[in-house]
Amino acid sequence: MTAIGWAQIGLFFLVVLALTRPLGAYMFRVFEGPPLLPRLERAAFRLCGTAGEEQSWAAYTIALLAFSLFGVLVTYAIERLQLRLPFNPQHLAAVEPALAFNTAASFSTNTNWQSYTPETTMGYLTQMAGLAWHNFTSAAAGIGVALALARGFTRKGRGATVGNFWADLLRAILYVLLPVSFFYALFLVSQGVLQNLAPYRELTTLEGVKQTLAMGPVASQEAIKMLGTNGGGFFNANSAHPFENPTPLTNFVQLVSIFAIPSALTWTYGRMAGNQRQGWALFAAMAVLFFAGVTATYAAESRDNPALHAPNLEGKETRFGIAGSALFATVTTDASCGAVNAMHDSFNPLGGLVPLVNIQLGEVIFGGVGAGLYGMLVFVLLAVFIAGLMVGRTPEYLGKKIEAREMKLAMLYVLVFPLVILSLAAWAAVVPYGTSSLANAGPHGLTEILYAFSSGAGNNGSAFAGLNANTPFWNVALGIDMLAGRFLMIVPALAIAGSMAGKKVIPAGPGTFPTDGALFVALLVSVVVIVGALTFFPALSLGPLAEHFAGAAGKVF
Amino acid sequence: MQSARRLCNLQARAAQAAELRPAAAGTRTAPSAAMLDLFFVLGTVAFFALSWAYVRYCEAMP
Repeated sequence: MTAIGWAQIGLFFLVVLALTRPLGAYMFRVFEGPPLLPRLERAAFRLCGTAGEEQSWAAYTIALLAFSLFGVLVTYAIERLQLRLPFNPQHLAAVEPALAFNTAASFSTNTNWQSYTPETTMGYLTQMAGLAWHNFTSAAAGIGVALALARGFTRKGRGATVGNFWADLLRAILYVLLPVSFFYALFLVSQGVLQNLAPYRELTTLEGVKQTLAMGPVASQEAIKMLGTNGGGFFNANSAHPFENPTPLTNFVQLVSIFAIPSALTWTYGRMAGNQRQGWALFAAMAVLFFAGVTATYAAESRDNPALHAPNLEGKETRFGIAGSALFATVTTDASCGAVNAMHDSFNPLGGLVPLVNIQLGEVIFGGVGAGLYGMLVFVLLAVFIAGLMVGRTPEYLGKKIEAREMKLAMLYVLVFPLVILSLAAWAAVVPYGTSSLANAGPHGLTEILYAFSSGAGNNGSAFAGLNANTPFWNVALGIDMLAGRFLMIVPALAIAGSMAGKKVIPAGPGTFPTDGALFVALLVSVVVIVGALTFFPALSLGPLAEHFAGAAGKVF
Repeated sequence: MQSARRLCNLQARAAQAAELRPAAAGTRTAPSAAMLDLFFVLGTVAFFALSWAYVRYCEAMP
C-alpha cells in the first residue's frame, strides 16, 4: 500500500462527502417540493393516464411491476428484431432467445449483467433504445422505491399513501438523471470517450496486423451507466476499455458518480425525517463499511500473487494500478453498479472475497441508486427491533412502533436474497451444464458460481470473469435470479412502507432508543455484518477462504 | 432397374416416415426460435403475475 493510493481513496471520499448535501437538498426539492416544470409534468401525466395522485403501497408496487414487465418485453423484442431495425451498420444478427431474455431481465432490473460481448452482439439501436433506456428507468424506479419507503417512515398524519410511482419516475429522470447525464456525457467526450454512429473501423497495426476498432454512442451510455449504478459496459472490457474510461480524471469521476446519488439520498432522507442527524447516521454506517471494505481489498491486492511471487497485476490496467483497481472494485460492489476497471477473477482470494461480500451484504454500503437506501432502511428496522429485544423496550423508529407485521415483511426481504442465491448456486455446482462453464476448478470455481448468482440477485452485474455465462442454462438461471432479486425484494420493502405510513406518531420519551447517535451506527453496522455473515459464511469458507489457505500452502487454482 | 426404383421408393418412404415419426426416446430436437420466443415471453409474464400475487399476499398479511 502506498501513500498516493491512500490519498486517492481519501480524496474520493471527501468529494463524495462534499456532494452529499447539495445533491441531497436538490433531490429533496425535486421529490418533495412543488413541480419544477408543472406544465411538462401535467402533459406527461396525461399521456400516462394518471393525475399524479397519491397511491397506496400496493398501487405503487403494481404500477412499478407493470412498467417493468413492459420494459422487459420491449427490450426482448428489440433484441430479437435488431437485424430488421435501423442503426445496425455491422448487420449484427438477432440476439439468441435465451440471451435476449437474460439481457432484457438484466437491464430492466438495474443489474446490467452481460453474458455477451456487446460490440459483436448488440446493434446501436439495441444499445440505445433497448439498454440505455433501462439505465434511466430502472435507476429512477429504484429511487422511487427508496422515496416511498422513506415516506412510509417519515410522514405524519397523511394516511397510508406512499407517493405516486409515475411522478417519482418522471421527476427522477427529468430533473436528476437526464440533465446530469447530459453534461456528464459531454465531459466524457472531452476526455476522449467515443460518441458516434459510425461503422467499425479497420486499421493496420504497427506489426502489420488487421484490427477492427469498435465505434458507437459510448459517452451517452457511459454517463448514465455510472450515475444510475447500472454498470453495463458499451464494450466487453467495460471501464477498463480506453474508449470508455480513457484518463485518470474519467476514472475518478466515474468512481464519484457511482456514489453520488446513493450518498445524497441519505441527506434527502434526513430532511424528510425532519432530523438531519438521522440521515447522517445512515451515511456514517455506510462509510464505516466502505472503509472496512476498501482497506481489506487494498491490503489483499497489495500482497504478491502466490503463484508468481510478484505483484498481482494480472487482470489490472497498469494505468490505474493496484489502488485504483481495489478502490473501483470496492465502490462498484458497495453500490449495485457492476462496472469494472479490473477483472475481479484475477484478484487474490481475499481481494476477490471483499467484492463478493459487499454484494452479499445486500449492497447497502451507499448501494444502488435508491436500492442502497431502501435496503439499509430494512436493516434499520431489524436493528431497532433487536435493540428493543435486548433492553426490553417496545421497538420504535422515528416515533412509529415496529410491530409483528413489519418484522415479518422485513424477514421476507432479508431471506429471499440468500434463498435465491444459494439454491441456484447449489444447483449449478452439481450439474454438468452448470460446471462446464467454469474456467477454474476447486474453490475458485465455486467462487465463480457464487459470485455470478450473488451479482445477479443483488442486481450488481459485475462478473467474476472466469465464467462463460452465455449458455442456455446460465442465461435462464441468471435471468430468473435477477428478476427474483429485484422484484421479490421490492414487494416486501414497499409493503413495509405502506404499513409504516399509516401508523400514529408517538412523542419520544425516556424509553425511546436514539437512532441518530454513534451507538445506533455501531448497532446498525453489526446487524448488517452479522446477517450477511450468518447467511453466506459457510459458502464463503468453501470458496475464497479455502482458496486463500490453499494458496498459503502453495496450491493455486 | 425396377429393383433400383423400388429401392429408391423404399428410401423415400423411410425418409418420409422419419420426418413424420416423433423423435425416439433419448434423442432431442431443438425447439424453433418462435417456440423459444413464446416460452420466454410467457415465462416473463408468469413471473410478473407471481409478483402481483405476492403483492396481494403481503397486503393480506396480518
